[in-house]
Amino acid sequence: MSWRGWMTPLVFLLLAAVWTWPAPITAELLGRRADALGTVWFVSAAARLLPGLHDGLTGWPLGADYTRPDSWTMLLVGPLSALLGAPRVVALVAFLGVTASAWAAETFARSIGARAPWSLVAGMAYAFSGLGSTAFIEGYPYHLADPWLPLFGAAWLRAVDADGRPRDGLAAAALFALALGTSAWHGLAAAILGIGLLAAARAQGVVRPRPVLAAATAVGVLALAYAAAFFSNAPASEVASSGLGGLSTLSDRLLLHTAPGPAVDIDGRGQTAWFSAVMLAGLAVAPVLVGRDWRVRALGLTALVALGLALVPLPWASMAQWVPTSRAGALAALQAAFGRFPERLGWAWLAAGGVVAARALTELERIAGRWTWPLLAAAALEPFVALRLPQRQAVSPGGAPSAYGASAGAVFDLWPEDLARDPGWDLRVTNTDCFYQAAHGRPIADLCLLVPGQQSPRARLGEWVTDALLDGDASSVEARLSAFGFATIAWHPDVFRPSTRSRLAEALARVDGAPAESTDAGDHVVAFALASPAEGVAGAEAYAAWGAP
Amino acid sequence: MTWLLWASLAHASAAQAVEVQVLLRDAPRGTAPLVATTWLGEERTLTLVDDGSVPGDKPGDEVYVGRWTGEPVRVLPVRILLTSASGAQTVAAFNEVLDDGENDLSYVVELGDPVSVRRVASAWSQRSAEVAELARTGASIGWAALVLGYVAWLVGRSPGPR
Repeated sequence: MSWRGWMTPLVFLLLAAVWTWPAPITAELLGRRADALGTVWFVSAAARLLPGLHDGLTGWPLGADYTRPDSWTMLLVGPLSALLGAPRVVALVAFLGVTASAWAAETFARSIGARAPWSLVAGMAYAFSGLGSTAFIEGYPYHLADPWLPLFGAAWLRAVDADGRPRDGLAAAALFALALGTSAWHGLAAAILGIGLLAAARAQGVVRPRPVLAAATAVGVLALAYAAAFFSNAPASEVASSGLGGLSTLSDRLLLHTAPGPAVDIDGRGQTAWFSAVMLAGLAVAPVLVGRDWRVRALGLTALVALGLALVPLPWASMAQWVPTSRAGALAALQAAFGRFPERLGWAWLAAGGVVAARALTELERIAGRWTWPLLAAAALEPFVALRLPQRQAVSPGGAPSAYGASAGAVFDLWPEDLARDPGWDLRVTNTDCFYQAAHGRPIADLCLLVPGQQSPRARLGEWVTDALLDGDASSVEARLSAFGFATIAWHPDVFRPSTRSRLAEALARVDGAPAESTDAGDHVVAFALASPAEGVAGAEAYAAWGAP
Repeated sequence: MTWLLWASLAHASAAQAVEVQVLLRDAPRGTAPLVATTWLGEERTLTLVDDGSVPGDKPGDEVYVGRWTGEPVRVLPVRILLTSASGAQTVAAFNEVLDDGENDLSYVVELGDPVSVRRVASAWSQRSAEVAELARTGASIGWAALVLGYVAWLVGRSPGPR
């Protein structure tokens, strides 16, 4: 088969368009989980977050410092949202991210001797994976946009090989930084890949010191800076609960690596770490077909180690017993960040396993001819059949209710407080407010990213506001919120219990007898204007002086 | 290009639909499920039926079915009530996150004191739901074994250097 170079990105572009549909064309919100709402806010706010990561338009009236963003690379695409709109940018990150990641993995495969079209198996295995589908459906598509991990693998393999040069090491270090910037999980996956390849190169006796030293110096500086930023906001003591999504048993994690069943999306999580059967088969026969190549052996073993780490739960509770009390906060930060979703270490499994499979299938085609072609078709179809994309993806309106546009100034969103005990509901409410802000641009009381140890002004004020309104004390609510600089109460009445709703409506009518009301953009919002909101720093000072109930 | 335009228009014109299914087993005579919501400010109730009059419903299987349609809504408050001769009583409330297109909301009501309601992937029997889950897992493992067997067969039957 005559394969032209341009065919590879074109094939991936077409497959990604179908797999992520309607991401190539939509300005609507894609994603089932509340994270999708938060990602859109993050992209919309990126331009104003740089360089200090301070945001005066959220956490009103104090503002907020977001020193631990989930993805640094998403900050770079953020400015495009002014041109295209944040939901469209997020959708394009998913679509083009899958394309770029697949192409990068295919390039990695060619670097160890795989030939097109068999090298495409590496791209399919890596970018069209269960982990990728989870990120897309749950709403953090920057996980899909990581061509850096396979490119790091290729550069690092050159650096530790017999003819490695310092510039290969530096290139690998730069790509490692980009993988780490994409998400902490991709940084960890890159570290596993890097350590595995270095260990294998040492065992083989091919590695030279200069390229490794060059990379180690660059990565060392980066790691110190990253660790300092990471632990600077560690919680004081307790080890955080694993919460939703923490799979504690080996059998649960094994099942997670098969095709997801009908119940996978029921709570909006959509989690699966399914991987390609063609990749698995190629990996399994690689020792027979291409096992003489030390690079194949190194990548194969590294892939298996990464899979093992993704499957075997770490004993966090036991580890806590061995850590001094003064370091319990650091352990808690590590557990909160890396303890909940260890399957994400599987990105290293997919990157390394895919390239080994592609190399093995290249060899298999040489000896078995056209009998191998069905495997290529299977590799292309598997992600659509096993993961049921694009059918499983959810689409919802991309804008904010028009009632927010009726006036200017800070908005206090009023949601039911009796549902706040459910962490899923709290996240949904917070991220909905933040998502709306991406469209209406007015200051809001929510914290749109996790700020350890801090509660948002909306959460602090919400219960007091609801209680006061139910007591019929609308004047106190109006006076306090105005003193804190809020200009509007945006009430979301439909999700309140009917009995509570009628009492709140009666009280809020005393705040503003002619509120703005809308039912567009998928939400019923009634916006009550507050008279004489405080201006300048007065609102922040009043809020800081307020003793929370 | 035409295809993209067509797909875009088809996507834009999609209305939101919600099919509600409630499994209510061994219900006393005269007891039936009813669901209520506030859909973008409008109060709505939906009588669920098990008489085969709704497309897709199998009469007498104890799964009660009904369907709402309307303008897109992000989060739909769903209240499940049981009606009987003594009136209607709310037994559970959920806030459901919806997709712009078709949505299936399925619940299992277990009568007792108190009545419990669970959100499930399918309102058919628990056994059917487990079979559906196991079928996907089994198919996934079977497919991997088939591909692995095929590749091993290719390796075994092929001459040449290894």
